[in-house]
Amino acid sequence: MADFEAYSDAKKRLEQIAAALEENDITLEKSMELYEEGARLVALCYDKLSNAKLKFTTISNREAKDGQ
Amino acid sequence: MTAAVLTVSQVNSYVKQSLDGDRKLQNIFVNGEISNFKGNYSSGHWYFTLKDNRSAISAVMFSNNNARVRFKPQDGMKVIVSGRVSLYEVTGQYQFYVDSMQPDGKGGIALAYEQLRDKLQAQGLFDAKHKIPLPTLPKRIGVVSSASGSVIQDIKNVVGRRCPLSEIILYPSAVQGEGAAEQLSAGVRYFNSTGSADVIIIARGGGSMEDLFCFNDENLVWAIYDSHIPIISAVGHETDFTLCDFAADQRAPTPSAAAELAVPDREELLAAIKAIEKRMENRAAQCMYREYQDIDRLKDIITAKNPERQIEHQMLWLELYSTRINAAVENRLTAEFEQTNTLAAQINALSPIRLLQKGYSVTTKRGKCITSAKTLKEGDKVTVRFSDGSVQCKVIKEAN
Repeated sequence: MADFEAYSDAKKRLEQIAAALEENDITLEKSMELYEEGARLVALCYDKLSNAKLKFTTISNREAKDGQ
Repeated sequence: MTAAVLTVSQVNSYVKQSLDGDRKLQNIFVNGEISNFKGNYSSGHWYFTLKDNRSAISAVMFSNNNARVRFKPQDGMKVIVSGRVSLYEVTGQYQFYVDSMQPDGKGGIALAYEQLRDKLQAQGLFDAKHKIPLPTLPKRIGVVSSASGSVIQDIKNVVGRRCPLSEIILYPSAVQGEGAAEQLSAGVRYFNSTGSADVIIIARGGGSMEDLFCFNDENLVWAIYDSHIPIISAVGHETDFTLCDFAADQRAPTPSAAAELAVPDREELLAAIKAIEKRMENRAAQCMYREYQDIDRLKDIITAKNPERQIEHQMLWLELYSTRINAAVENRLTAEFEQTNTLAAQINALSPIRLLQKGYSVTTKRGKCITSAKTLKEGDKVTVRFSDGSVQCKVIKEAN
């Protein structure tokens, strides 16, 4: 998956995990499971943010015409 | 012959008439540069000098005429004025009486700009209600700008440093001269029709008013207005506003600033992830703590149900009750004992033996107690009991 999607999906999931962890009636088992998943996603986000390389493209003349 | 002596007023009046009568000096157009411009504050009349590289002429434009001029004349501005030449008799100064004024050259562009700006503004194209908020984290940044030059490089540098997760897609376009306005509009429309950008930057480095003029194109303004993708405009310098700037959803003073507006800073993103991480950790720790508390609570319950404890408890119970029972029995015995003593004393006090000791005696006949003298006859044998013994007696004389 592209870095951007990987990052933004992970970020979205992290928000969910953080919210789920904050539920009052969560079981220990579930919280450990979520925490583990969250920790993995945090690492992924750090990695993507630190190591992503900017992508750059230029629209060719033909593409520009096709887009009209 | 002596020449007639004229007054100054007569001379000025004559010259004025001559000038006014000269049709070549009426309704003429003159171009020149404004200098020494002075607007009279109270009358509203404009006084200035119109000059070219060799000559100068004083000029006046009365307030009823200058009210129609859409721009503010300034020294150095090139203008074309229409009017007539006449003389101001009071000072003997001949001057140009200006009826109308048009900007010449650069001034014309400014005027056209102003007129178009007012028109589009009136049509609501610059209204704040049409502004679209920028995305917080755009995946694709469409750039409409020159493929060469520092602008695209600056944008790449800033985005690369701040948010390399994003992608830049350049729509190359001329940014000045012939066809530039059309290409710029085409770029904005391209990103909209292909949906290939989450935010658009339309940018150019600084330049003269003429250089930037393609950014004042009406079509381009409409393309920006029609765009459903938010647009950041970074054209020229901080001090120059183009119509493109007014129409865009955000304006940035430079292309680099536009790039900064377009993407969040990596440090901010990292901080956001850190915040989530912290939240998760806190919560996980809380869950663990809660679990420990549960375990402690269960431990207490189980400990309380330990059989050894049960026995201890029973023993204590027994001890308590046996003490109570003992005490109760003891108390009861004591009470009985005391009661018995009391009774014994009472009984003792009432004993007939005590009466006999005082000197009384009891008489019985064949075991029956004699309580009346009349029941005995002469010769009856009776027993008389004293406290210390009995005697046998015989009735000698009956009662009368």
